[in-house]
Amino acid sequence: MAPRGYMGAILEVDLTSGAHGVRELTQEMADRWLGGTGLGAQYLWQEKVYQADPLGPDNVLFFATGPFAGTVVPLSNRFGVCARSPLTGVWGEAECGGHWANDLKKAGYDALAVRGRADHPVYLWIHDGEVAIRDARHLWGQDTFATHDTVLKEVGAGERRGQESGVACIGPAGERLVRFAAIMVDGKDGRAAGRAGMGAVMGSKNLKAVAVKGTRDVPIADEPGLKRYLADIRKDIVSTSKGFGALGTAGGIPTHDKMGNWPIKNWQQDHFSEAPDRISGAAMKESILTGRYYCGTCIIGCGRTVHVKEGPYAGVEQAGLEYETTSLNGSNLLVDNLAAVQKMNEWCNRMGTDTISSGAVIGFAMEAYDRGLITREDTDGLDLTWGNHEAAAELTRRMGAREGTFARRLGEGTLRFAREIGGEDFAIHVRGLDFPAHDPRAFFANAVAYATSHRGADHLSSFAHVFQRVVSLPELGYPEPVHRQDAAASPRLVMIGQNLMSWYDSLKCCKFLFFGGIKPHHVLDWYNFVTGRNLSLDELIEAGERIFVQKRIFNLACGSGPWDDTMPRRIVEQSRDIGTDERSLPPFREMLAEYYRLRKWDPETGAVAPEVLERLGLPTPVLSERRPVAAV
Amino acid sequence: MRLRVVPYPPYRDALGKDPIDLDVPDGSTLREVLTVLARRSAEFQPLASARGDEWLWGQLLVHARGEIVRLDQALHDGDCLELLPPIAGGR
Repeated sequence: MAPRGYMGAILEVDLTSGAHGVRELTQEMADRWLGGTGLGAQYLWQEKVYQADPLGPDNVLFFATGPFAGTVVPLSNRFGVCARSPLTGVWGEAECGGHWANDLKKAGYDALAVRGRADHPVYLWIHDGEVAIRDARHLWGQDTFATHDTVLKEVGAGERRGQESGVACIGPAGERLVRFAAIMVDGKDGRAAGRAGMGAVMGSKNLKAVAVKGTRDVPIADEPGLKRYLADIRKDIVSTSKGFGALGTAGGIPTHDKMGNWPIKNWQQDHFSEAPDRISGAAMKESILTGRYYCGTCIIGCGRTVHVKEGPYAGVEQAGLEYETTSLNGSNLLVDNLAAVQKMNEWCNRMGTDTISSGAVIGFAMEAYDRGLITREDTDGLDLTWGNHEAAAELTRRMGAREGTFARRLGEGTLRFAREIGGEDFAIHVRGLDFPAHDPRAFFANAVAYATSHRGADHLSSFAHVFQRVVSLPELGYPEPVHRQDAAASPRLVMIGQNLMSWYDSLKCCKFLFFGGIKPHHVLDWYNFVTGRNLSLDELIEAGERIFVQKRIFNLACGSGPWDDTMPRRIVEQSRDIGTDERSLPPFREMLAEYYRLRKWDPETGAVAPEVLERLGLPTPVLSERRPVAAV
Repeated sequence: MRLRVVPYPPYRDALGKDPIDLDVPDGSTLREVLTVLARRSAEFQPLASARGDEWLWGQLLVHARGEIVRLDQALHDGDCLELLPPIAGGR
């Protein structure tokens, strides 16, 4: 019998042979790895994926839901996808909302593991226990909007949203192995598994799309109890998150500018004070906004839909801008033209690229151009002056299409390009993954968090900046949010945040539940209602710690350890005005040393203390010789 | 004491885009200032009645000297209160 909250099945597909089968998901696996990329961490380790060529057939692309998928738990129609990253060469993962995860689960599968390589483009059609590998040659070359709509027609769309099949697909970027290619769901409503090049892994397998549809029930231990519990709490979630849902994630841009948090001119500039009036959620509401978008089972609705009706970018009609996209493709490039940034978003979504890395590599290129390291001849004629949104939009398109020599070079990612031209000093990344739009000079915890996150610079794997701002964690020793410049508190906060987020991400909850006033004990209660396991918060956070450390062990086996736990010089040497009385610089080295002490990791070799491995039931790390990141 | 209130979008819809100078009793808290603003715009009434800081921060962030201000925090003569939208992060 399947563990409650799960279907008890990992679907395994080998695209080389065309065979597929099921690996059982046992109660022990569910208890130890929970779901999502927690399950992926265990699977990829067992399959020795740390030895695989990221773009070769031995890499495994692992999609996974969690125990809440397919149930009435709100904000849980999410999946994670993981593999060895072609961008960084280490652990790669991305998370995604939209309308896909519940259907994989209700089709009978907790997760999908894809290995091998088809000899021509294919897509998977998974529905209620049936699996078909269908020809996708007619789809190859199509963007993700067209692919989504065509596949939906071919597998049978329902009458209304929620009854449709889910389609996850890649665009030309994934097909042509752009190293920061994304996997997209929901067509023009555009939800993305964006980071770390998971779309390129999919493209390397000749896998164009995965369509899912399910009608099976998910076994739940106490559904009446869960429904009663949720009935009381839904209104509170909506009320608490109202301001955030009203303007979307880009609504906070004026605050991010004031706090010295968002990227400006490749992280060189303190503020861009005229931009928030033009490229924030409020600006979107006054001009191009047409509605709100809700992922499946979401009740907050942070998503936007927009239509640009006039001007040179007229015709864009799709998912509205998120904060990260607006920052990396707006302020980061000194672009304050809303329609232009929206156009770049459209190109990224259509072509299937990560909006963060796309904007980051353009920002890097603009600085290289400004410094004279590259010229208009190198850029295939594009004038990459700061603020030139036409050039930035065209370059976004070309990178996604892999069109032209310059775009091809940038499609290898910021770090590889930086190595070519001698610009590593101003490539703002960790492990080859570009910084997201939160400055560690504004939130000190992010310095440690980015340096130690398994996939590279990543604010989501700890979410510590949120706990340094507006959310308390009383159950975990933080009755108040921690001050954002509290260097003494930051290391422990990051460690706790990473363990907690590994737990959340493996259950596949949306983190925005925090903005709805949901605390860990609520999620613990939901977990126990669904699974009937009656675990304690400590037990679940230990599961989160196990998952986090397992991913670290994966990286050690890839040859990446403490020598890659770094911060760009710009972030630790160039102070920033963050709106307080003094300019700000994080004391990174001291915080990192304390973090290692708390984790019991050797700061030189990366070895994890034996008592930690024993407590978590983890293998002794294979301490491979050091290998440079972003070099596989 | 005198305070200056600077509204950022979207609060300019309710309060206008110019800074507002307020005279309030010494030691007034943020909650009390929000109550004063609620007399100018009903939009601020639920904020003045916020059940707690974290609920407020989901609707509005008030900064003074770069720091987030709490509901029951006493303000000082000359403080400039920036009314800023709530922030999240992530995709």
